[in-house]
Amino acid sequence: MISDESLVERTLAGDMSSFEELVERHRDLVLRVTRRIVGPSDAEDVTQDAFLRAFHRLRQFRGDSPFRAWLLRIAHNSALNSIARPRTEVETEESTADAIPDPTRMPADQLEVSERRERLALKLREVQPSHRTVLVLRDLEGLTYQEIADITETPLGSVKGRLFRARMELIEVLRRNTYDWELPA
Amino acid sequence: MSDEPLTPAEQRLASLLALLRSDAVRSRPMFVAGIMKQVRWQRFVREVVEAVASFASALADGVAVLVGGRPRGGSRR
Repeated sequence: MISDESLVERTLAGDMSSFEELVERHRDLVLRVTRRIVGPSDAEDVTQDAFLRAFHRLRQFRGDSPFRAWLLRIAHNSALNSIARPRTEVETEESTADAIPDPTRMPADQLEVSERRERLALKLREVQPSHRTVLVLRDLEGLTYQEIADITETPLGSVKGRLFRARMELIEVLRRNTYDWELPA
Repeated sequence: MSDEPLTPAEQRLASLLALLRSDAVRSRPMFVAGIMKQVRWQRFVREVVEAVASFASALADGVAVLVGGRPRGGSRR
């Protein structure tokens, strides 16, 4: 498989299909991360914005860190910009564009899991953005502390501190809603 | 979830987050095509703007030479 770095070089040489391959490779990861940070209704716009910014800044990619981390840094900044914009609409996980409705009726247990997941996603968005990002990247995407430090442009020690505070904050938010907290896993 | 032993509350959180991890978020089938359409369009606009800027710069240099000045990018020796 061609490396991301080679695809970047080919894109810079004018091969647009190489950039398309980069988008194909990373779209689901970027979409998952932005969705957890900004919510489902803005996630696609933020993801698209991140890829467009990445394309225009491709010459700035030095390869000191993996392309994935560089791209997620751009996506993270786009997501924070999106959150900072004022909005009026109330969001639910149901409004997601990528949630393909099941044509058959969901069995009761599946429906319960889906609803629980939706409630958890909403609770996650109550955690403050800078903490939320670290928690999403570490506990949901399994990135290393170093990658998270690169993405969020914060020192390694601060990442660990933020992760601890993010977990405590989410535990506190979930404890306020004892229903999910006390249900068996 | 962590490199260190987890407290019961953190263990509970980890089990709840596992539920979110199992949520396979996928983009729409035409999502990449939409991004690439935008990328190609913006690339075209950027190239046009760069070409116009380059032409304007060359024109300014030419005019500067004609009126006896030095081209902006020229040597100062």
